[in-house]
Amino acid sequence: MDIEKLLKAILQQHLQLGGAVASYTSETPLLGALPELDSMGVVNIITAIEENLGCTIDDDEISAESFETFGSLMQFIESKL
Amino acid sequence: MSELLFQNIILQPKYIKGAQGNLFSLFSLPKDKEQTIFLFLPSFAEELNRCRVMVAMQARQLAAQGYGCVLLDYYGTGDSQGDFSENHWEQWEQDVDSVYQWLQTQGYHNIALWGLRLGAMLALSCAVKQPERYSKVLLWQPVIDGSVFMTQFLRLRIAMLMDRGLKKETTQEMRAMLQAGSSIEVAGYEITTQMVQSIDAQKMLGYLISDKLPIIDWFEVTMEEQGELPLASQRLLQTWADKKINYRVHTYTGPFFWQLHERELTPLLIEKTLASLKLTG
Repeated sequence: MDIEKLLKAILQQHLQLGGAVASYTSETPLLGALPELDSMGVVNIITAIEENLGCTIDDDEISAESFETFGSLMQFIESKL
Repeated sequence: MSELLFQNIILQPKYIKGAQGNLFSLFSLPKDKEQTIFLFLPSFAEELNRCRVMVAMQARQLAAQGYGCVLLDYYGTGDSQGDFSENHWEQWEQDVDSVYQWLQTQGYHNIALWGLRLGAMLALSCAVKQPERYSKVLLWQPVIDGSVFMTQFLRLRIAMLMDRGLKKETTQEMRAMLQAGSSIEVAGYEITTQMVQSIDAQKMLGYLISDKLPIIDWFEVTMEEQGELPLASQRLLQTWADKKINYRVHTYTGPFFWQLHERELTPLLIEKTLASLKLTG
């Protein structure tokens, strides 16, 4: 599974980021840097990850660290595979 | 895009008497009383607000084809009377019944249900209980499990606490607080015990769909063209197929317009919805 491609598609579909997503790298900051990533955005991304991977994410696993950068969110997805 | 908007078609504000108070709706007349009038059932909390532009656009498209529409604000939401904390499943069913009865008194007997997300689940629940009442059932992005939906909603509070660096809570802890009878605030909405428990109890898998029900038109977004539905939807629809329940799936690609801040249109969904009305069966 191409996690980078999947995550870019999820961010684009749920946060209205348009073409900007294409240039995201591991270091691109997310939480606190993107006004689109509000509480609803975080929850919608968590749900999208669950639906696309067919996994369950526990409440305890939802943390600010995972949403810090594009790279940390990719790592989080990898941990759910 | 401008031809999709049909700004010249006016959706008229209308108050309909509900069991607890006046229900606000936007109303457009069908071209004649035999033509279908669609009762739109919105989703829950913030999703109800975020889908308004898209729903109004679909309503205008339907009007342009001669169909009527009633876009309902449930009791305690939007411009209807009541407070949000009074929302719960049985109240919504009551609202649907109030609008249905009102349409009957106005001489409209060809009434269809059209719902989005939790509203789609409600549409099916109402149609299952009174299948002879409705001529069509259109489900946009249906929620199929009330408690999964509610957990996703309660997570908004986790995300808010996380964002503000406050102490973590789990959805189990929130449910325990609700169980004990206290309400909690999620994303600015007052969430009550009755609200959560009545939504938690809804499972589409348990709905007893009789053959009196019209064909169910199911619309769901996929990540890519011709992509597969989410696993949960696939599983439910497989049980319907096994039981020979009549349904049609219409997939489309586009933004999740019920989640987004900025107005975003999904013309493909509107096209597919209109096309579905031309199918027979």
